[in-house]
Amino acid sequence: MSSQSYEIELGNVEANASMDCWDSFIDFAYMQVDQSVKDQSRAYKLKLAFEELVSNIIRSSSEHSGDHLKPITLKITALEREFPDHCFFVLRTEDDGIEFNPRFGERPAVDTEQPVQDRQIGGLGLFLIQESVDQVSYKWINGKNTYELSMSTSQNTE
Amino acid sequence: MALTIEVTQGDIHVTLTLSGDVDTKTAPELLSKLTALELNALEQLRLDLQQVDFVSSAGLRAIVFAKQKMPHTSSLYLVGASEQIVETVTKTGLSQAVVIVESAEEI
Repeated sequence: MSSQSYEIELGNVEANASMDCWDSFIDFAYMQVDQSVKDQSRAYKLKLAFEELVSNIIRSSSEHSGDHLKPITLKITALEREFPDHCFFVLRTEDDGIEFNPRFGERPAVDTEQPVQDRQIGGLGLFLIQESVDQVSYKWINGKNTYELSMSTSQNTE
Repeated sequence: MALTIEVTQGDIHVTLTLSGDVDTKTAPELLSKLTALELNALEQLRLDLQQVDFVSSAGLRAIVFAKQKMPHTSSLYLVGASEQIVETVTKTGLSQAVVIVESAEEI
């Protein structure tokens, strides 16, 4: 069986990685998710993961903006990636900020049994990204942090 | 979507009625309202989420903040949260710290 895949770009948006552009990123991505992921629960989870990811990128951009001569740019691309027996909707982010590999899959799981009184106010974001989508990946490509959040859409037609 | 928050003072409780999304952009507004309450003396806090479509981890952090500031014997109710929000709360283990009810009549 062939494992070849092909992908179609559905659209993209590119702007400064700052809260000023928050609505542009969110509005674009949510519109694409609503069009491609028909199951409401899965669409919600993908939006949750995307929101966390973009929030992390913008926060990191803000913290490291002094290291850059120009503003950090964030590009969001919506894709449909099709395999012979499976189809994924993908949200890809590319930013030219400081290299940061979150090492998805290698991170210790968040202790969800830990009493709330003892919890740190943090650490939930990456946990939610990892837990909410079918696939999450990170690569450093051409000087850019490149993340992909993938959600199977095969069940759309079931 | 913008977030609006209405604060109602009861006899032993305070209700925050939220409308909109609680995300990275709007969660500071929730945190601000929570900070303005005397959480360390509050017996019961109710977050009415019936008109909330989305709660991100920034919103969950605000809930954790409130619970940590409240006395151990106090109760934090999430009222009318959607199935997706309840799932997120449960997944992150916060359901052990809050009481999830469908309506205020259950309290």
